[in-house]
Amino acid sequence: MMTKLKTKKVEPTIEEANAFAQRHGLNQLKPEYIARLRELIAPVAFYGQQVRRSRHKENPPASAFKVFKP
Amino acid sequence: MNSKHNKCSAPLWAITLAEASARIANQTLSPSDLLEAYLERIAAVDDRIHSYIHVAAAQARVAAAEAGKEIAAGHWKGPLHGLPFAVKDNYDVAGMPATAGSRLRLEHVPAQDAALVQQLKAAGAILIGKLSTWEFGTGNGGEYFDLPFPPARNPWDINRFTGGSSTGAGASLAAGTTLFALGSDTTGSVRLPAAACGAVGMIATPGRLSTQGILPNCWSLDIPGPLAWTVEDCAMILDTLFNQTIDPKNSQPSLRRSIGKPITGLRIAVVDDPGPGFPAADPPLRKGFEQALKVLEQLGAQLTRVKLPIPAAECFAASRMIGPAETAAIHERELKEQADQMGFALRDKLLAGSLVRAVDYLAAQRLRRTVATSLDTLMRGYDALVTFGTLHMPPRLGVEPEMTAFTIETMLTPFNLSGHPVMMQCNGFAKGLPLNWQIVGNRGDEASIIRIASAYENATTWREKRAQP
Repeated sequence: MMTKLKTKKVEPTIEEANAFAQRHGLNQLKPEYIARLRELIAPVAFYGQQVRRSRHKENPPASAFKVFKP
Repeated sequence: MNSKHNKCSAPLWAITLAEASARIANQTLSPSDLLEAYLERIAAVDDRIHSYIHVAAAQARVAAAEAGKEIAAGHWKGPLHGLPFAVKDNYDVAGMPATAGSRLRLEHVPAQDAALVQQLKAAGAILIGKLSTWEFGTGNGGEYFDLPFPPARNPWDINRFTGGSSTGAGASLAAGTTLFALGSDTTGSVRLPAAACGAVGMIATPGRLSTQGILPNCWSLDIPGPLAWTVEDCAMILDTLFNQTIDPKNSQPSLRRSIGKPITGLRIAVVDDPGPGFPAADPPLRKGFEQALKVLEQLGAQLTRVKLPIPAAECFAASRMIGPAETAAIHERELKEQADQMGFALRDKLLAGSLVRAVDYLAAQRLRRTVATSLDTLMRGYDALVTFGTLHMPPRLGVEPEMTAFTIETMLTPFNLSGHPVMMQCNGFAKGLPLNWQIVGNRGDEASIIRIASAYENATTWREKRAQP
C-alpha cells in the first residue's frame, strides 16, 4: 500500500486553479468552472493517492488489455 | 422455450422475447402487430418515464412490414427476425440522430450503423428508436435536469432514479416500451439501470462484442451489453451477436442450450461482504441475497463463502482514475471549447479527469492487472461467483447524495477492471422496488452465468411482475 505519511491535504487557491487551466489550454473556461476545478483539485489528488501501489517495479500497467478470443 | 413467464392473457408488450420469437417464426404473430403493440405502449407511458430520445416509428413500420413479407415467403432469418429493439443514444444508427443526450450533438447524424446495430438488423430485428442516456454515456453519478432531454424515470416509481448511464434502456425494459435493448457499460452503466429497474443486464467477456460505432467513454473499460426481461431472452440476443461477429472464429455453441440445465454440483463462490471502504448492503438487498442463495442451495449448487482479493472500494478508487482521465482525453476539445454547452455531470467528470496525474492513472492501470489475475486465481476453483450488485436500493431522483451513493457504492467495478463476464439479475422486490445480485463467470464462460441465472429465474416468480408507470 501507498504510505499516506507524506501526503498532506492542501487546499488550492483560485489562482492555482486558474494557472492550471491556463497551462493546459482550458483558458476558455468560465470563472464558475474554474471555481469548480479548484474544488476538485484536492479530492482528485486524494483519490489518486488511495490507489494501491504495486510492490513489484516490473509490473506494467494494463493499458494494452489482452482481448480474449475463444 | 421457457413458457413459465408467458401467459396467454399478457399484452403483447409483456410477452418475452423467446415467446415473441416462437410466435413470429410459426407465423401466429406478425412483426407489424408486435411493433404496433410497442408503439402503443410507448404512446401510453413514455411521457411519464422518458425512456426514449427518438422514436423512429415510420422506419420501424417499414422494416416490420418487410420482415413480415420475408417470413411469409419462407425466409426466416433466425430467432430475432421481426423483433423490436432499441439502443442507447450513444450508438450510431445511419440516418438517425445520435445525440448521446447532449446539446453538443443535437445535429449529429451518423452515416453508418454501429457494428452491433448492423448485426441485429442483419438478423432481422426491428429498430424502434434511441434510448435516453446520461450525456455522452457518462457522468458523475447524479442527474441535474440540465440536459436537452428529460431524464428517464424508474417505471417502478417514477420519482426514483433509473441508475445510469443506460437510463432509458433500464426504464424501457421495466415498462415494456421495448422488447430488448443495447446499452454500454464502463463501470456499471448496463448493470446499474438493470438493477434499479429490475431487468436482466449483461456484459460479456471483453472483446466478444464490438464497440465500433459507440461513442467512446473509456478505452480501457467500455463494453456494450444487452438488457432484456428474462435470462433466456438475454441468451438469445447474445447468441445472435456472438455468432455474427466480424471474426468468424469468435463464436461458440448456443448459450440458449444452457437454459433449463440443472445446476446440481456446480461450485459457486459467494461474496457476501463488500469489504472495507464500502457500507454493508441495505437490509432488503441483504435479505434478498440470502434468500436467493438458499434457492441456489435447494437447486443443488455447492456454495462457498469467499472474499474478493481486492475489495470493491479499492477497485472503485482505481476506476476513479482510469474513467475520468480517459473521458477527459477523449473529449478534451469539447471541454476546452464547449464546456458551457455541457450538463454539470459531464463537465464535472471532464474537469476531474483533467486533474488526474499520470502517475495515479498508471497506478490504477497496474492495479487493474492485479485485480484481473487475482480474480482469475480465485475463480479457478469455481464455476461462477455471486455477489451483490448495488449496495443501495433505487434512490430518489434528484437527491444527489442518494444517487451518487447508489452509483459509487457497488460491487460492480471489480469485474469491469478484471474483464470477467457478469450478469445483473433481479432477485426479488421490497416495497415495490426491485432487488438485485450479480452472477460472474470465468473469462469466456458466459454459459455458466446463463445456466445459473436461468435455474434461479425458473425457481422464482420475479419475472411475472411488470411495472405500470
